Amino acid sequence: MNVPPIHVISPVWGSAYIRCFLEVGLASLLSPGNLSGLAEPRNLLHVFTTEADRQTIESALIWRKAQEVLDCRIDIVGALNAQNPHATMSDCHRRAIALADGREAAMMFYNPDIVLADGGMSSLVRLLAQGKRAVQVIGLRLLKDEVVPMLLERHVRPDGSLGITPRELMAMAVRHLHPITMMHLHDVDDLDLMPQEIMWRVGEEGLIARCFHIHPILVYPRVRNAPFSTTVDDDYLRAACPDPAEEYMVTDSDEFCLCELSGMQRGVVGLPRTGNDIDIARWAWTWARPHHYEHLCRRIMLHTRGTTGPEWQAVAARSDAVVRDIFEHLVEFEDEARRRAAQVG
Amino acid sequence: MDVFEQVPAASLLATGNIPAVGELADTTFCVVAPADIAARVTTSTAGQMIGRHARLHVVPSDELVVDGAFDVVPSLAYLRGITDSGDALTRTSFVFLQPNLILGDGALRSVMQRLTGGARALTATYLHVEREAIRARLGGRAGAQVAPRELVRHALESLDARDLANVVNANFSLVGPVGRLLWRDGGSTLLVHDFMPSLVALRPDRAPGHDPGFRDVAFAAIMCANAVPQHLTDSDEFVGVEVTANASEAAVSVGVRSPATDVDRLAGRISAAQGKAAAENQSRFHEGELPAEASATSVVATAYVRRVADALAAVRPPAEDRRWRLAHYLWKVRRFELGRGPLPHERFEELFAHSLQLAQSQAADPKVPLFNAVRWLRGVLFGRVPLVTLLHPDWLDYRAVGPVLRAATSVGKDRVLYVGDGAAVFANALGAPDFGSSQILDGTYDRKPAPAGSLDTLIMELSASGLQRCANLLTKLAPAVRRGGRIVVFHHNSDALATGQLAHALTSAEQRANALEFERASVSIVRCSPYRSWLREGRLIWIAYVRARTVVGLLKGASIFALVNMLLLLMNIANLWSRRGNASDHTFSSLTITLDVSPSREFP
Repeated sequence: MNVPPIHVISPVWGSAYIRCFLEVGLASLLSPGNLSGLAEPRNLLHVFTTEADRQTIESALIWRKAQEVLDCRIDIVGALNAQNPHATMSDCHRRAIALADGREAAMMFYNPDIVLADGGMSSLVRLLAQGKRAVQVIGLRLLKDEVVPMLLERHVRPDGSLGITPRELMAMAVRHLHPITMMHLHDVDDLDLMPQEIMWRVGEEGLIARCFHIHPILVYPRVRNAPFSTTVDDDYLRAACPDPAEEYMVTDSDEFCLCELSGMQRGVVGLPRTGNDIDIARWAWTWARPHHYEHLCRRIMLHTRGTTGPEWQAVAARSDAVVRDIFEHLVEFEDEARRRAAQVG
Repeated sequence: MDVFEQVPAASLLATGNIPAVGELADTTFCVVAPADIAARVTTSTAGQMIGRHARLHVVPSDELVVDGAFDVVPSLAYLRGITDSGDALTRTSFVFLQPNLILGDGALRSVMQRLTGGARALTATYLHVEREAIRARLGGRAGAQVAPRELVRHALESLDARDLANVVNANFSLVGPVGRLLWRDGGSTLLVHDFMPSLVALRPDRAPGHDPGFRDVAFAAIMCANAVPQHLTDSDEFVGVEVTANASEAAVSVGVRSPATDVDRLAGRISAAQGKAAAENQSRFHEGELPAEASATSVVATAYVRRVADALAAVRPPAEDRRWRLAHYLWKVRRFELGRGPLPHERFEELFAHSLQLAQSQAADPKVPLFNAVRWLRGVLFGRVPLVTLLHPDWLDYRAVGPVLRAATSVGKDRVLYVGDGAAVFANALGAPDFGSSQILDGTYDRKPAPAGSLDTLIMELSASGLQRCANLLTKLAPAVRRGGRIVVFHHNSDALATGQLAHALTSAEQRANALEFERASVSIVRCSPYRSWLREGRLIWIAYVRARTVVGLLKGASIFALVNMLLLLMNIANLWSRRGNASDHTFSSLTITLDVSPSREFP
């Protein structure tokens, strides 16, 4: 299969995000195993920003470096919705989708506060060549204030790009998890639970994740201008690529590894923990959709070394048991729902 | 394999087991295992001794085994052993052995006698015993015969945590895994009513279908037409114990046990037929002679289980096929991950059809009716954006558009066009937007626009960029609205959009509206005040107190909830008569433009 051009779409505004994007996000995107290694002039870096931030981007050295590697375009965001920035971001995505669909391009939804390990873009191109149209990943959220200085100190290359291997990034990640990510850990008592992703630590060697929600990092739509209701994370992927056989879920961080970077002040409210997986099942009962259950069945290995050791096997078996337990509760809920429906009937 | 070689293999070689079966029938000892395990079995001392009494036959199962415990694998392996017999399947009796099963001497002879006596399916209860405990007791007897009563004696001293937790007449009330209820009857007898007994043997009269289900649950039903399994109840006739690891304690918890709680726990798992069978079949594991008359404990146990079974009879049968399908799917996913098969597909929308339907219709958790009541109360008190009540902090924003939305929901969807950008919260009342504003203006949609004069109402919920192009949208869409129809433009801004941009958008929209000569036009701009923002933030503080789940926390939470909502109500009432904001205000929260089309005029 011929590989289509890739539009890397990044909505970014505000000084903090602009800085993170230029220093880390874009710099890691330009590493040799990512965009710099792809000699494809049809690729496009499509940035959405405000008029005020445009000059900052255009005057940055890394932006000029990007222009040497691929076509770069900046579109101006209209008014920002400060109460709901996701709505503004979705507007940007809709505009970018319209452009990419017109050019029959694949789209990479690349948020500004991301660090992408070297080789990720090569993996995406390989998957596109294999006929995959939707690639989904999870990104660990890390503490920005701790991780960015280390990235800049240790991994910036002479040409300004930022090169870090997946295992180096994971080694950094397991030591600097953001509190929101900690809320995904299954065996932590002190924090609220965020059941969208469930994770287990494997010592200092990495994590195993079982996820309901994962992020569509790359979409090469079958359906042009497919509508979505809220964000591209939600219902866009299945609308644009209805055939599940064309989806690909990254389950090994060696293949593709990215992390999100967030400040400590960013927080969310989760579910109270009771230590019983029935809480996760109850959440899933209300919020999960069929494709989320498919995601949950997959083991996602985020690792700094090999994953064949006994500790990995033990944690993987534990994650399997929890998934079985969740499904067992869901079957009970379904039985009860059917009984109630029969009674009403 | 290690477990098998310790005691179970030796118990098979007791005089009354495989040697006896070998004398009674043409016997094959079929090892369904991966190649390396099968080689260990056939070359082991036990394997070679078994080979003196039965034909050793290996059925490879390498592709079934994956790196982890998957519930479907044993059943698939047994199935493979059955189907391997080919055309002889319906002329063969199958006895299902397990590598962790210790049989009392004579157990397999009894099975043979039942099968030759006409039984087509035999079930039994295998007591669960701790591996180390039973090995310590039987270790010195490995390779020798273990009489049934001796095995029972050791088993009763070695019961694992799961079975101990399900002893109903124990001193402490524990709850173990669903499946069986046990009573101690004196010091030497254990009575068991098993709702999920193990399938011991089968004489099929037909071949199984594809992926039939779990051995204990499905095999008899799909391979023996109308066969009622016979349950082996007397340990003198048949006794088997399953060796388990200590980890089984994880399945035990403290809890209250009664017929009612057992019904609750069994209701999703057990059919009426299983309940009836459990009530009728009381397995008795005894070290000594049983009295001729039923003991008091036996009578109590039977009565208890009958109450449970009677209650279960009124319950809809469980859907074991869903458990099988899920377990099978998980196993196939793992095979895919190991590069040993395609990525499977499971129809979760069918498996959880009722749950998904209920969840989507905003029903609450079926386990927590209180949650439903709270949601209902919240809906009554505050409404749901965009149809909110006077108590809602966003009531000012939506009060102008609320009546239009209510009217729009009462007419057919084909008479309303909903253009929604961004979060598109009107979807809560109108369903998904028909188009986004950019789709309308850029022509990137692939559906036909509404014909001229076909709409009662046009509702546009615009993003900031859409608002800037409001005039163009009006030009393009207004002709679709019939005479006397209505157009509503709404933008929720909170406090972000600069008022200059609002003024610009409003000016161009009003110019276009003037040009189109509407019957009536009105503009509502809601200001964004710091006090209102403060109240909006403050109304969620109560949750943090309530989540503490202390009396003080609940009181504080309730007080804050009442206070903030009272202030919100007062603010909304005060604003009923206050001046509306305008485009020159410093910040604004929302903009609503209402345009009524003249009854006597059509757009060009």
